[in-house]
Amino acid sequence: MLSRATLRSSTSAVSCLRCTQRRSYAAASSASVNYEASEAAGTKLISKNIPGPTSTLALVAKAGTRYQWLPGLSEGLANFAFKNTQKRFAVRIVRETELLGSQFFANRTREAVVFGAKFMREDLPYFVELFAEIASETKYQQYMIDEVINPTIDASAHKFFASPAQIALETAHSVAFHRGLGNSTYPIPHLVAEEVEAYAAAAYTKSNIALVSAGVDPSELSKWTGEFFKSLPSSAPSSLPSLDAVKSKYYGGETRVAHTGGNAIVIAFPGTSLSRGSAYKPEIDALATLLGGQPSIKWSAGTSVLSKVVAANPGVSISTNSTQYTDTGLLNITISGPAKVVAKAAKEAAAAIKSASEGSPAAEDVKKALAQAKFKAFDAETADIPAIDLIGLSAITGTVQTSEESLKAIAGLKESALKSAAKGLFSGKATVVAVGDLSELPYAEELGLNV
Amino acid sequence: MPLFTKGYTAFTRAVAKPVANSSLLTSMANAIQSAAGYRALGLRADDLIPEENEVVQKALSRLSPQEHYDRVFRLRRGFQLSLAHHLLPPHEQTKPEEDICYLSPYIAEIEAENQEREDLDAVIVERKAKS
Repeated sequence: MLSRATLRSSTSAVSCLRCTQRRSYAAASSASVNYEASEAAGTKLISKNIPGPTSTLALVAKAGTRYQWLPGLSEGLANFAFKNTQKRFAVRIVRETELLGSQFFANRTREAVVFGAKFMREDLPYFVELFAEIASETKYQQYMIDEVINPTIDASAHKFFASPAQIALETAHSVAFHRGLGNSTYPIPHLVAEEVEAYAAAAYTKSNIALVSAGVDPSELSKWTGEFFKSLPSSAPSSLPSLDAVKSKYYGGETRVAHTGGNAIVIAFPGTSLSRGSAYKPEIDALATLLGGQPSIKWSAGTSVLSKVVAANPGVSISTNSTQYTDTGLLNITISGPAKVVAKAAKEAAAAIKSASEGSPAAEDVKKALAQAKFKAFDAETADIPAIDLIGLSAITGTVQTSEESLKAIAGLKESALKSAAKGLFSGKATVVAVGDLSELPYAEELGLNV
Repeated sequence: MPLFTKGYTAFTRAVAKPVANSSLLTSMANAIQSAAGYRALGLRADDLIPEENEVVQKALSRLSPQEHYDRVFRLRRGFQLSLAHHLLPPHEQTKPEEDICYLSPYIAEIEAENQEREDLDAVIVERKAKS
């Protein structure tokens, strides 16, 4: 039996829990945007203060496919991370990181080349040193490309070309943005080591990189960065082309690609730039959740505008994404499945988008979309580092903005703003890409879209 | 034992390498290497490295296509000359400045990497006590 005193203390404990919960909610929403920007030895640092025994550290270089002067250079650069350096062999790097119990990763996006690691907090100096070594002392050896990099690139190329949805999204970018952001990201084998080396010299300079970290003591990071990144050149040799991109412009249009491995249609509209920039349009993000297509509950089609189309066309899958870049974005809707179903679903989806944008969307849908967009934005902030590449790029290209502003913007988004954003959408020029059985897949004109 | 130091190139390399700037020793080394006779067949010292093992095979696979073609050409010409008991005319023979190490750096790197792998396999890890 519980004594009265225990009961009293447990009730007070519950009320106390409630109040700390309330308090911790408020604290969490402000703690989640606690980024600290600094500079050490000319290198930009961004640290997110989160408690815990593990850390994430990543080096972001403004050298994605958007900036490459030959196809495949970004891919090559990302693949050369953690390979032989002047000081140690790749095997040593792998074994040492294994002994420290850490994981490393390297990838490239349209705008950035990112490599990084997750490790125990006390191992920070080892990784800062390693990253500096990779940036300035990697040996770009042709045999490394022939023996190690080409097979992985070949494999990812196979994977890419087997996926109509990926090809469609890729083509949509080139149709929407032409050069720069529209540069192809698909992996290209047969790289030349000297070319990658030249690209690395332009990419890994103090003014072109940022170190992004989470769970790292900022003063420690700045101390070790100052020590190890001293020798990194502050700017690229003048003989190399510069990595400055022309401002993106949206073109739009239509392209059709024959493919025997499946069917996909991408319908895209101009989107919003990254959520840390001044040109952020939260209503576009909300619009993406309004259109939706992916269920938020398992085993159901969902209830968003496009989810209703999915429910009516078994076998089709639709997803809407608001893809963000530093100066622009692409709101893209991918429809994939069997050709006949995709064709039917695409027509219904276009009609649904049209009625949602030209008529007024149901008030309930709008409320749901706003709530979901808000949740998505806040939920993303709970990750160690949400969108490493975008945070790094925002630091490289301008001042680092905390996500506080954008979270506020999306939290305070009005229904009217969403409705007016939807209105503008359909009247503008769309990007439509069909990949698959072209005899079945509809043209943009048949979808009633303006290209 | 490093492979490329086997055979009669070992001595001349040992002489030539550490004192590359000493003109007397360099010219002595050149004289010895010329006396070895492979230059008269149009070969380079690195052509004489036995290739029937994994390390050298891997090093050969890392040569550029041009280097690889030239090597095969020199070897075939050398065999032909040897069979015919001929020497190349003096202007076609390998000049000392042409006798470069095109293969041994690759071998040295592969051996170093293998050694490193063996060392890491045998490593005993001791973590520093937390202060």
